[in-house]
Amino acid sequence: MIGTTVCAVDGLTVAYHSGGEWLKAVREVSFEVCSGEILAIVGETGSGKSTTATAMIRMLPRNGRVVSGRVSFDGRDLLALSTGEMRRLRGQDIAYVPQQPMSAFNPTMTVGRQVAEPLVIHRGMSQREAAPLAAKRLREMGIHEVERVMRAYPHELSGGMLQRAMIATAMICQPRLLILDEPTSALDVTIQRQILSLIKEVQVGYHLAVVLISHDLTVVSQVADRILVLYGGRAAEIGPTLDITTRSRHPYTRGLLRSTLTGTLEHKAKLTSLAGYPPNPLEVDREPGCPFRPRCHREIAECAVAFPPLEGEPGHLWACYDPEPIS
Amino acid sequence: MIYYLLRRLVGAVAVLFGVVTGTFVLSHVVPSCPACAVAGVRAGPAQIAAAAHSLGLDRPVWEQYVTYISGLARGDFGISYASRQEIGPAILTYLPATLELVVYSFIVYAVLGVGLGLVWAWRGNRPESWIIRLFSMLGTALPVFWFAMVLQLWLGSTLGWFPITGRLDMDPPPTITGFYTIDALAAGNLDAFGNAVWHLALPVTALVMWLFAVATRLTQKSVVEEMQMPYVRTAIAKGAGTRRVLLGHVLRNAINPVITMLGLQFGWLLGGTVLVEVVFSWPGIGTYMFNALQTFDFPAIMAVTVVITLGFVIVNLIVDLIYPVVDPRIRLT
Amino acid sequence: MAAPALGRVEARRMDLGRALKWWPLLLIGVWVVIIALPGLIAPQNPLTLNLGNTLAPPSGSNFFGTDEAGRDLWSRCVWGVRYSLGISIVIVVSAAVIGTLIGGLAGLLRGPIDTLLMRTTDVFLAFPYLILAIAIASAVGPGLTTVVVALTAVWWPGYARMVRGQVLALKELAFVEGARAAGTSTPMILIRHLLPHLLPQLSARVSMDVGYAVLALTGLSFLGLGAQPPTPELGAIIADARSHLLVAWWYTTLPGLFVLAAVLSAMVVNDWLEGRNKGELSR
Repeated sequence: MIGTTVCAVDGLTVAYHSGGEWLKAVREVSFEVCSGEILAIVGETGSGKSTTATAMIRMLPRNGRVVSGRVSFDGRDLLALSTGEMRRLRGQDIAYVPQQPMSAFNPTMTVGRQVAEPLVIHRGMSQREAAPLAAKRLREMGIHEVERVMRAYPHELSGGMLQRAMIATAMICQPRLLILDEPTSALDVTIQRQILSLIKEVQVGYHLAVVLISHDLTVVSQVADRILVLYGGRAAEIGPTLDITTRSRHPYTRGLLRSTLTGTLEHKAKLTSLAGYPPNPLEVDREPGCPFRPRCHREIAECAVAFPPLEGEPGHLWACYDPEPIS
Repeated sequence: MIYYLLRRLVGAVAVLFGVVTGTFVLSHVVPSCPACAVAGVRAGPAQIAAAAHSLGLDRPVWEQYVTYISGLARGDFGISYASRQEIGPAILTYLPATLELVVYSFIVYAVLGVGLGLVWAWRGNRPESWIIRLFSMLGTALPVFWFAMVLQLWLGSTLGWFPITGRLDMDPPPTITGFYTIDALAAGNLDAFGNAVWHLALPVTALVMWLFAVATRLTQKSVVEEMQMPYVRTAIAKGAGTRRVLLGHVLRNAINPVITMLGLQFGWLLGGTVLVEVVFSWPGIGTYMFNALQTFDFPAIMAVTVVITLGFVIVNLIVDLIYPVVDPRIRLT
Repeated sequence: MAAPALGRVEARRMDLGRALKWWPLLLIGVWVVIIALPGLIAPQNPLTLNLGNTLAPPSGSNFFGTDEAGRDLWSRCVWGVRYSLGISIVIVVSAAVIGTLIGGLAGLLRGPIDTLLMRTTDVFLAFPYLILAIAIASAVGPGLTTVVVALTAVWWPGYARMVRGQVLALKELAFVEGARAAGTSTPMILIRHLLPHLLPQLSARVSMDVGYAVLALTGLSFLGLGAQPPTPELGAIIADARSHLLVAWWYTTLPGLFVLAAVLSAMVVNDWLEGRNKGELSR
């Protein structure tokens, strides 16, 4: 049951200062996420997906800047808030689960302390008061030996357990928006499925708005309600999962689907990989037109002139002058 | 873990042993005549021989060595050439003054060094960092004895803000620890306490100024490295503020090399203390050693060397023991 | 919020930085002049007594004033810093040579020799160097030679450690095996093949240690263990100043500035060398 819009990103453009130049990693990306739905942001390395997420919560590295755009949360523009106000939101109303749970924990602190930490920060609880709540959350996330995990150090636990603990940490203050950055990339396949269903359960149970970032379209299509495909820092296609997986229109999306095993394509379809390499942000800046051109087999004259606008059907949009026909 | 501690203990004993043996060897290499010194200027050959006998100098060398070692173990450091008194008790009277100076200097320097290092690491390229950098460079380049004298002259004499010499201007409080500050507080004597602190100010400043740079630089480097670690992002994502990130997370991980360095620098501190004590006429073992140097009172010099080494070894042993407490990663290896 | 382009100000700053990169060499040049030709900047004789002009404050003829024997303090300082720097360089270089040989051989030969050497250096390193130097110097008797010997003895273990570590890393490389196969003796391997690789780090450390050696040397002289009167040595001069602390501020304050200058220069050179070493590594 999809509820109200929790977060709306509008025309977000983010640049990094590198080697004396400003390179745009994200260009004019817009999307919404509502409570009760999972929006997946999918793209290759360098497509700008992680940057989008970190820009939303204002955790860009020192050399990154938001050039333009608006990120609405609760009717407020997150980009215009003071540092203090933003800090109050982080961990409490908006939770971010970083990549690679194994390194995201502090190696010299027990897991229990770290899971309870948001409570200590935001609710002013002492470690002792917060511990039982942390334990409860851990149990909720499917961890069985809660006592052991609470007292353990990160290197004593497996990747899957750490990811569950990380999600528990994110959920401990019951945020309304949950952002997960590549939650399954560092895990093996069986654990991946478990974590994905956990994410789904949590989302349903708390009626959360979830943003899921991944490079793996097939993985996210198992749980996502809507998918945003990024290429070269721009939105290539956005729509409901079913549309994206069965009726995608953008050549890049099609290419992604064809290059991975998925049950939604015809069993006779061949596995073909996308030719070429992900775009260099420097080049994308310099050359007008669609960044996918070098790898696209459907290129027409307009593609070199300007970046195609996002258009399509209600709820399903794509940025292509010559989209793939519906197969 | 026990294995780790045992190895450290053995190492400490080895160092002590090496030093003691070294001082023994040195004292027998010295082309002087200890018997002559003890017997006195006007002594004839017979008296000198008698003195030599009483000092045990006519025994075989290895026997002297054993006597020396067992004497040390008992706390018997021998007789001073200059005063003809036993050295052990003499050192004991001078020791508290040095300990007080050393302990306070160490605390101030550790806190200041680490604190400034943190500020420098956090403030990156802002002016505060440049000031810290400048001061630490200056600090390391100072000859500590000269700086002590400069403080004495300008802050003590010219401006009159601090006393120039000594530990106290009044009768000392009843001795409990030998630390005037603590004893004064224990006796409820706030005047004495204030006065003792006032006297400590300049010597401690001289020592700290000279030492803090290394701790600062190392803390800064260590903290900057730790701040690149992923868990820092996690903490920020939880809404942690600067203080929590630095003090609650980064510091406990970054502190390791700093603790080692603090232990090693203790050796510098001890050396510097000798110099500073001389400048301020501070009645500690540094002054005692200096006086011994003037009179070539060799046993006294060697005794102080052994005592200082002992202190150094103990401090480093404590540092080794602290490690596992601070860093759980070491506990488990 | 517009993203700024790389401004002209920043570009200009980079050019200036590139030009300034070589100024430590200039600094070394200045010191070389001071050491080699002290008469150039200190025309007066540091040893000449002038009992009619004792403890005079700084003036046109005596930049730093005079000491209790009427000697020109400026000249004494210039000559003194010559000693300090010169002797320190000798100490550190000797320590480096000894340490390199010992550490290098230990690293190449391994086995019981290595262990023995390392335990010995451990003991030395774990020691308050000033105390050790005092002990040795007091045993052998005061004098410049004594201090040199004492400080060299205190310093070489650090180099031995460092070189041994580097040698251990380097000896895995192919060219060492090649040299062995060609029958080169171990000392020759160390000197002809490994040394060029050791030099950058060695020289950086030497420059830093020269600074520390100056401090240690002046400290020992201050205690009366170093150069004997009337040789002008900065530490001894400052020690002499003690008796006149309250009446002759220049006597106490100014000589220390020379020490400061020498040590700071050493640190600057060290910074520069380390920067260059890092640059080399990144290539």
